[in-house]
Amino acid sequence: MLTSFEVHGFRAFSQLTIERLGRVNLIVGKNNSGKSSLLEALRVYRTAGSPFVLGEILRAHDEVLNPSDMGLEVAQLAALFHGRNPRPFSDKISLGPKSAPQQRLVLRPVFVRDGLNPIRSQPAGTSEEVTEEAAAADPNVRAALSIELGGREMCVDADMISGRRSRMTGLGQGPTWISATGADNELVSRWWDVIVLNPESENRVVKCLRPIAPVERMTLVERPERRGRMFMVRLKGETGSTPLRSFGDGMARMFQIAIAMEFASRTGFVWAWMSQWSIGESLPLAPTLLLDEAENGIHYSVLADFWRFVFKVAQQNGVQVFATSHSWDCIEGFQVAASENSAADGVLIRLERHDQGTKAVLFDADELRIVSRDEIEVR
Amino acid sequence: MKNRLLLVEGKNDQHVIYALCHAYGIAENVFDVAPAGGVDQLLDSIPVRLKQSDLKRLAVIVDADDDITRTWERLANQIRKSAMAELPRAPDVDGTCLNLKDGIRFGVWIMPDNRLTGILEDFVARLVPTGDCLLPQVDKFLSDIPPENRRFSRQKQPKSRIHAWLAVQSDPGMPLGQAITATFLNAQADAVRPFIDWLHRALVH
Repeated sequence: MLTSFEVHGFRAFSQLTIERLGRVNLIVGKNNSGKSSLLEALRVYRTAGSPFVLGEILRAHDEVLNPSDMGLEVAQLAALFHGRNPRPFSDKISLGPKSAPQQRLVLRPVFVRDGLNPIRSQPAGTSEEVTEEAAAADPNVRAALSIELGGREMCVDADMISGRRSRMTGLGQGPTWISATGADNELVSRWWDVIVLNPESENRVVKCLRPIAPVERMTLVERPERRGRMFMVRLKGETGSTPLRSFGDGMARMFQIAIAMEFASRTGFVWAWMSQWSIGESLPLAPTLLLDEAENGIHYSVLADFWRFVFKVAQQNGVQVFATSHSWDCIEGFQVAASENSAADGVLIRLERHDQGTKAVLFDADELRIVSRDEIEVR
Repeated sequence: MKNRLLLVEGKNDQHVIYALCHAYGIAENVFDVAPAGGVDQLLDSIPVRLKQSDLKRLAVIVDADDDITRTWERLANQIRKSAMAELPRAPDVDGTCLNLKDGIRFGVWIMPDNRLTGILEDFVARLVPTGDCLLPQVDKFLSDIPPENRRFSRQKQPKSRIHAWLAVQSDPGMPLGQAITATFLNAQADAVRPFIDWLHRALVH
């Protein structure tokens, strides 16, 4: 579990230090304070810089460009860097816990030649100096990203990030992540395939939905027209089943989150990218769930139950959860669950943008009790 | 304005502040007044309030009670917990104001006057018009109560006193704040000016 986290040079953050993290972390802050960027930074860190995740992040922001048009330029990777104009070899992104340099992930724009071997930058003014202009002239030299962790280094090129080459798909792509608009149904179906073999997991998921409707069983069936699969729900006292999507977005979202929580704790999945450079010892697999705009579609009256479920499963299955929210009701539900589950260590983090960088203001469970009691505005 | 906040012990304190602000032309939207559920809740909320979003000014009014030193120490501990500053060793007789880290301005007024033991009602008693003939009669009434019939504690005596006086005005039984607004109690009394000056320094200017 990450106990602290520092971000340098990534997207919106010139510098951000979060001194303390809990098992369940709720991130709040004004629009544009960097909440989603922080989730992205955690995704990148937890996948040790997987080019698949980097590409996904760039695509989500419309920032990935066709590499064949750009030739040598690092432009297609630039959007990952704070200031969007990284100098090759010198500017860098650094992510990781405080005071643990061997666990820091460092990303740097570099040039590579002959496969993915980085050209070491040479002192300025020498005949060996590699400038962007000189590199542009050399057809064997390409722009790439160096990824360093625990003393080991790998390079990935723009093609790998943009997904033009070696597209890596599949379940093992990193910490379970659900965006504000929800996770892909196909992905959720595959999560379900994994957890359904364990009756306890399945029961917990079903129980999570009961505050909304008296759900007894869930199944995954082929669609009649054979285009993928869909979830069916059987309610208590009824003999037939109803599609999950009939119940509305809130139920579907709770369901996705409940499955994601169960799936996140399956540490049997070695992420394809990480196994390529065996850095498992430097970065132990740590089940993580990232949830953007946690409360979307969920009625305020069930938020306390929702967070109780999250805290319980997080504690039980050893999953570390990072969620963002705008909602006061969500904070109140979080506070109730945090105070009932002091062992699970809930922390509220507010991000604030300042000229010198982004600041993280932390509230533990005791302080959250006072926040709720006195209705103190913390967002 | 959401970024200027005054914390007070309870609703009585809140209404007295509102009435005095009104009497001195301090507009309602300059700062918020939040009544706590008593002094303990007020004190333990201070480190959390200091982390409230967008806060620029925070001020606190607490009773000295029996031991002003002890009350001051409790306040100092809460500020120390927030790691934002050290309170001076003793309250300023004109009311304390200081700048905390992060640019937040913090103020403290210890009722009645930053010097003596006492409570809000001691301060309010100074608003009884000078030379008022009923106050000595109220004092006699209270002292005539035999000890075995005295139900209020010594600490609460100022409350009995001011409410007994309010009970015999032309509109009997007015609460403190209303009595100030209705000018039964004199907002222009000498004791009030230093308090209003402190409010200005802490929250207005």
